[in-house]
Amino acid sequence: MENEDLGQRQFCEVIDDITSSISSVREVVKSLREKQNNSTDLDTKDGISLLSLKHHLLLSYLQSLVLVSSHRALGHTLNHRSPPAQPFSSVDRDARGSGAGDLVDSMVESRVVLEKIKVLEGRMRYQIEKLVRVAEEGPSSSSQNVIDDPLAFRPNPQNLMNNDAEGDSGDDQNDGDDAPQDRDGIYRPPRLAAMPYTEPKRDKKARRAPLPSALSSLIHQDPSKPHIESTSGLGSIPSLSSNRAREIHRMNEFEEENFTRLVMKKKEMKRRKKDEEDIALGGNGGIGGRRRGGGFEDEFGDVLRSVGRSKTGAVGDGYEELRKKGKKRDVLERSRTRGRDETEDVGEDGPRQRKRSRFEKEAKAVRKRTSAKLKR
Amino acid sequence: MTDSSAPITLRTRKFITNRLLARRQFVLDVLHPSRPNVSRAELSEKLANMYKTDKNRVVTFGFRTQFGGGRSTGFALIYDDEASQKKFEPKYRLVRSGLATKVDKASRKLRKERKNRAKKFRGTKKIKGAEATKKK
Repeated sequence: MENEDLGQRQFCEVIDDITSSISSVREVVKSLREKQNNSTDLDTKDGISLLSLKHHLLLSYLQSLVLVSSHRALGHTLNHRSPPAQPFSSVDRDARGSGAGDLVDSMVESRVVLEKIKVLEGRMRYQIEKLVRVAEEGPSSSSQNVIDDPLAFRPNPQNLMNNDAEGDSGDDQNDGDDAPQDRDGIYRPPRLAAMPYTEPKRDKKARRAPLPSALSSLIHQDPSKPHIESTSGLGSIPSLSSNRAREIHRMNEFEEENFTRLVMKKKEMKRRKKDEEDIALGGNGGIGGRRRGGGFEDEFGDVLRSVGRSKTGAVGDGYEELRKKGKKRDVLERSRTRGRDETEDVGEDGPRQRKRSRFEKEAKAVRKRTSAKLKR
Repeated sequence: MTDSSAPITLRTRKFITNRLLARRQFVLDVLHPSRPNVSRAELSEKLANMYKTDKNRVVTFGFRTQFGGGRSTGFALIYDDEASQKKFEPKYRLVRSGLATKVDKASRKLRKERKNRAKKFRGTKKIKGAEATKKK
């Protein structure tokens, strides 16, 4: 009995709540209606602003969420949907149906639009903040004038300059003098203007890579003549690629034509010989201009220049070094560890000659004499 | 490696019969693969055999070996007769081939000094002056 009474009482209370809330809702709707009919505040002829769009979307999102959760609580499926025919971008698009699937679709839609609104709001943040500040000041005559003046909320370039100045003189100021920007602990990097990239001045010595001989020889070779290949890889004979090569060839021709030998100084003669040898091995003339290379010394350059000087004295060229590196010393030598002595010898260019002091020379002489005596 | 009896190949290029100087002249290519440079005497012998002349008429000069060895290039002349050779050849080549003897002169410097000393005198006194300085 008492339970029934309790239940009835609760039921009545609930019913009363419902009626009171409905009546309050009716009043709100009435006032809205009046507003819509009389004043121009709610006029949506020109469309709604970004901020009110945000409110509307959020409201519809919440409504759909509630309905979807009630559907799920009742066990309905979310697949019934009746999507509108037109795409999203057309202006006079029908409203969605009221199936559960439609509710989900509209939630997705409003979520996407809300995210985009967030981006746009970020761009307008400066102006919105200013408006809010004006509104917070309170309704006064000056505020109305300010709102009507379109230039009241224009951007302030002074703010940019302040940031730059603070960035430059930040080092000079003490730690106690905090810039107002940094007071909230957020690091704001200095804004720098973009500058065009100018190449640094290249010194004269930094040469560009030389034109490859395959391309440069095309200039001088006659394309109508047949192309000569050879097994030695040195190319056509004579391949006059450099000026020096052509000069020497001309000299030879002159000599054969006129049955003489050219009269030259010794130096010139030596240079000519050297250049002829170089050209015969495929290089350009030795001093033949900017491009040096291709000959014997260029091809085996890294071997001929002694790359790591060996300890066993001055070895002629790199061939000997390579051979000696491969050979293992015998076991006795390997077991003898010279240690500190080794590093002392090889300091500068190769091993030093031990300066033989007078004592050492005399000792050596004595040893010789004694060994000679023993032999006898 | 050096084989003195290895065969040599002689090639003649730019052969010209020079009627004005009474000779035949050409560029000579010698191929001597396993030998060092061939001597001029040997070359003139071989050329004389080839062209059926006296080996004294053949003059060779100006031989240069190409890089790597085995090949040298030079010039050769074959005169028709000795008279024209003596007429047209330069002195030094005649001396080389033995048809003329080398003139022994005092050194160039000495000659010039003597000349300068002789400038001081006139006429026959020059000879006297020269004798005087020679005796010194």
